[in-house]
Amino acid sequence: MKKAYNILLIALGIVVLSWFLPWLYSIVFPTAASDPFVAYSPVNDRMIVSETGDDKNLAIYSLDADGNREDGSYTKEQRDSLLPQIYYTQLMAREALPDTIAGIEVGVAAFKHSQWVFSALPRDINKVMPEVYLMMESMPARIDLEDPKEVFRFRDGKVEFIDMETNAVIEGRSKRFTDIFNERGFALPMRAYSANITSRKPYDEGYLMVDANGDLYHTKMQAGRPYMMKVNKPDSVNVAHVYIMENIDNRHLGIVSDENHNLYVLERAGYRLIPLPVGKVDPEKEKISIVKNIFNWVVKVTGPEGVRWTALDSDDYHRLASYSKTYTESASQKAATYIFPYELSFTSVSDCYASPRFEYFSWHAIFLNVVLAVILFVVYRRRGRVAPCIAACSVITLIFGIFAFIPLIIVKN
Amino acid sequence: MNRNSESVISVKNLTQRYGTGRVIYSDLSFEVPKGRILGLLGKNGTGKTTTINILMGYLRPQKGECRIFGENITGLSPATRARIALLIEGHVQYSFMTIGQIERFYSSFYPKWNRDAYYELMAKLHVSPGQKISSMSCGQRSQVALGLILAQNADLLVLDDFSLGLDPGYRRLFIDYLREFAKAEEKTVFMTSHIIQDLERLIDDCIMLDYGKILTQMPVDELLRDFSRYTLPTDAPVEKFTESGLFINPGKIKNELEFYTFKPLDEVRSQLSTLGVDVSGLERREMSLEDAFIGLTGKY
Amino acid sequence: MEKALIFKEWVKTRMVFFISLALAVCVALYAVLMMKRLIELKGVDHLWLIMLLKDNSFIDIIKYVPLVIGLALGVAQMAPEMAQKRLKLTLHLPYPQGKLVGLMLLTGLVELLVIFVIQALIIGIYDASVLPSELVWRVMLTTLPWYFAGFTAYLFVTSICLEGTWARRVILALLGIAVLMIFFLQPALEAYNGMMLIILITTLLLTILSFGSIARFKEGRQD
Repeated sequence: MKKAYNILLIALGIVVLSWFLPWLYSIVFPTAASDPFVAYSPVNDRMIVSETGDDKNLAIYSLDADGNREDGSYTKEQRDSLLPQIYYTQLMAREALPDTIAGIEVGVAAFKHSQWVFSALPRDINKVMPEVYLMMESMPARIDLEDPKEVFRFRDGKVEFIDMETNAVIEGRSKRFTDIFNERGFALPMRAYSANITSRKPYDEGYLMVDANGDLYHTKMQAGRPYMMKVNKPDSVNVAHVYIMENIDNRHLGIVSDENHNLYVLERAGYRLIPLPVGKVDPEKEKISIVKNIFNWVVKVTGPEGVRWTALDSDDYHRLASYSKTYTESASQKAATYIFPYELSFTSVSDCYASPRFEYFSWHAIFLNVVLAVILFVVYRRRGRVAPCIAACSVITLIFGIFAFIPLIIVKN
Repeated sequence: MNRNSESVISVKNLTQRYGTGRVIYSDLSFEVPKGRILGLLGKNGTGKTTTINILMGYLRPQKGECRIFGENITGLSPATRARIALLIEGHVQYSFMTIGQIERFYSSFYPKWNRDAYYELMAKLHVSPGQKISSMSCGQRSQVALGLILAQNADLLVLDDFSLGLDPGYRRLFIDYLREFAKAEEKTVFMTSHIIQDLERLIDDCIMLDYGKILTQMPVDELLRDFSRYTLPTDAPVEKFTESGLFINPGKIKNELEFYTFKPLDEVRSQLSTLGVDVSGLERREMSLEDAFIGLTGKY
Repeated sequence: MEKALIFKEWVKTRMVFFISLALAVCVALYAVLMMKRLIELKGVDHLWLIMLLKDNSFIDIIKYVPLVIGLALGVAQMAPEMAQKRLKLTLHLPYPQGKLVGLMLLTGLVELLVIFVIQALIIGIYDASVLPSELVWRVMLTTLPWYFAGFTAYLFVTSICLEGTWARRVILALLGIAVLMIFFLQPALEAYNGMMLIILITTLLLTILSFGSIARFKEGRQD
């Protein structure tokens, strides 16, 4: 029992310190990184970067086709003119907004009507979702959308609608939806879904759903009746994640990613699934944001290693330009890799789970580990420990480094 | 001391230190024979409670071996523990229980439980069975602890400083009950106390501990018979007697020399003569156990 | 003998047990009342909406209650043992010492379990009357780590109470605080589902701590 107690105490100490020390370190040496603002100019066909440097001054410059900084920089006023799709109110105020840009007629209404912003965070999909789903009425009796009154769930291979007021199954609706799910060949369990449940939106498109086979469906309730369409796509595309969009321009139904980390846009007309040339994107690990305007899209993908921007043409989504930035380790972060052999954490910004996870392994820390193991060896010899104990504890220190050294030194006997 | 062949407690070469520092005692050995009442006496800090803690398995001895009823104390079996009644310093008991609850609690552990012995003593206390022990006076609590020990009817009683915090009446009550019980049932008792005057009426044998060693270990009647205090009016400086090493704890108040010894009067007289001291005023004084204790351990 | 031992634990803890039970029931009833009020004011569908869209379980108020109860029960049960080294009496009882400590812990854990189950039942039964089973389970699974925090707090506090040296008590307390923090790191609903097995195993292992404290007590490691 005494042995088990000591082992447990040391093990708990190692776990707690593996988590606590790196966390404490990050508090003492905070690292703040802010990404520049990147937009694509329809005026000079270049990416325009607005970046606050270490000197706290704003630098505005353009990039060449290879993503390298071009000589010279712009003033804020110059930037307004280069990016009229963003700074049109400033241009209006200065009466500097042209009538056409790049051959397209522009105006405040045109800008407003064609712009939207999309954002998808890993933590929005990396979480335990409730297995009941709110269903809105897409064609309400009155014009305005109303809060949903019903939820549905899947039970015994059937769709089951429940009235929230009474907590009772709505038989007719359940049957009609089950029938259409069966007709369209929806394979349970549902792999992913997206809906935007709120009455504060221009219209309702219900759900985008991914079935067990990776097929994509669009489902909604219209006047209490089911509407369901299967999206045509190549067999090779195995859908992983979906994000429904109900934007004012009405052109797109959603953003879709597949198992191979390709990104697509789903156009409402004809349910066309069109690949977006933005490289590999993993929505489970990377944050995606899209700023869309009348001329172009800027797709920003932020991952743990860095961030990249791709500008796409608004009409046919061909790539206009791209730019990427790799995060560099700060001196304190670099130093940490020499101190801590790994880092344990229980939560992460990119999910809503609590579970132990190792953030990184660092071979640099082996130097410190060796030194600590030697110190421990000497101290334990002096304390007159038996050889197997000295050997075991030295090896543990060699592996777990400082995390093991501290409890092994503190806990005597 | 080994008049009785069977020893209930046997301690061999016990060595104990405070942590890794000061030695409390080294190579302590003694036996407690069956049916005897043995008092472990010593000043504060000589290791009385330490010895009891070791014997009861609450302190691992650094060196040496202790046996109770022939069983090594490092792993006393429940059956052997049932044969030992323990009184811990300050008469500590489960004070969150009532008189009745604590009796029922202990009765289920001890097959020889004597309920009447307990309630007989409780009847003297004028307390109700529903009264919580924590609401009692120190003296009453000591009687509860004693009552439980008597009811347990154990073969060996280990009592750690039973006199602590008791006024003379309760001390007397405790001792009288205990002596009667132990003698009638041939129980073995191992006890410590820092109030020695009570023990004379109770204990058969005594072990006197000094810092680091046993001073004496013998039956009390032998001790009181053989160990004597002498006084002698003399002008000779006390150093003369101290340096000679012939007598125990010599001291001088004004012109009167006082010393202790196990030697008979004739031998004392001749030894004093060899030191060239006039022995005409030499007197042997009667001693109590407390006097003997002070004689052996010194006043300081 | 077992009955007597359990009785002893019960005498020590019954006061705290009943106070804790009352606290747990009151807090659960308060949570239920808040839900009822919301339903009366805004309708039951509003409750569902908030639950589904805002990830609100309406029982955040009970979050730290099991933890507090675990701490209180642990102290109530073990502090009297350590006061005046009363543990010596307990260990002197003619009963196998390992079983004895196990029985003490088991009594405390069962008392906690009873309190927690009653509290969870109040919430669960009410939730089941207004919510679909999926959401009832979602709420229950969200509360599960909080209850485990209660057991963990109890096990740490017992080991701290039974420990005889201040230095080790501080180490155990720091470890306990750190381990307990883990239970409250992630507020998302059902966030701990994937960690339940680890939590269960850890909780079982933590019982070793009290046995270790007793073993140290018997070696004489006391201030």
